[in-house]
Amino acid sequence: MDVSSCARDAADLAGRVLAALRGSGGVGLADFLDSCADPTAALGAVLGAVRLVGADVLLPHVVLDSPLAARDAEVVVPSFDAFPPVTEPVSARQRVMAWHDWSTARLPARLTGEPPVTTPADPDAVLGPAREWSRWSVAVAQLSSAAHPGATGPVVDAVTAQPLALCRGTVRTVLRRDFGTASRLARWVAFAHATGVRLPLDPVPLVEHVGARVGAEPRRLLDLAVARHLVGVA
Amino acid sequence: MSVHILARPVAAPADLEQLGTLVAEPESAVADPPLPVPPASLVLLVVLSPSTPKEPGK
Repeated sequence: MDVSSCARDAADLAGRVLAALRGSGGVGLADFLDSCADPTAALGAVLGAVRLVGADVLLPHVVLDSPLAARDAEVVVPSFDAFPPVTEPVSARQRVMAWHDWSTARLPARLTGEPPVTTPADPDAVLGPAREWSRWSVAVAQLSSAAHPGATGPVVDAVTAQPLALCRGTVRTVLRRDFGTASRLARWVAFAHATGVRLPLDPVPLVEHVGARVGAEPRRLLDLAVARHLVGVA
Repeated sequence: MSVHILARPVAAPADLEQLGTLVAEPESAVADPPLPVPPASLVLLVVLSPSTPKEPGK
């Protein structure tokens, strides 16, 4: 798999999701997969892109409550066929991948009424102790696709139980001018706000501040679009 | 028939590792804060301003 092709396809896919959230119609996931011209080399990158964008590929169906076509729901399946999920994570990166995969597989199961997928091990292992909030918040940022309207689960519970660590980590990324990570954390801050968690940080100016500086990377713009929807300024 | 039904490549372990790297994207290196840049008009004013008057010789 070509990493740069995968990242480029992920940006393309995230751009499609973003356009769908802004009312341009459906994402056309199956069409995105079928648009792959070379069925050997490029398809791996496209399927990798689906796995990279993760649960966000189905965001319009969650945010706009639009019906999910069976053809689009099936797009996630070949991505797991091509890139088998991590079943026994050992490294920190593999633990992030395992929880990212879990949220990716769980959302279509929730939308189609299928049985829930198996939950990975303890979320504390992937996030680490919240007292080390600078490191903890980076792991939280890496799992930003798990923070969507109506999301539940162990990682969501673990993050929303630590509002101070979340806000400290977010402010740290803003002060470091790492607006890519800040956009992912702003999504979590907006999610925590939407679920009624009391925060020592106002999410609305945070989202606007980061939004003015984050650039044009579609996956980060997608994080901010979800954040804006969650705080009601979309 | 759809392309994705015809071909389902199984990724190599190295591909999985690369995908894991993309998913677990680390935070970026520290960026420098914005440095103050004097406006051009202020620089011009300093350049064109008369020299500091000297005290009359004793």
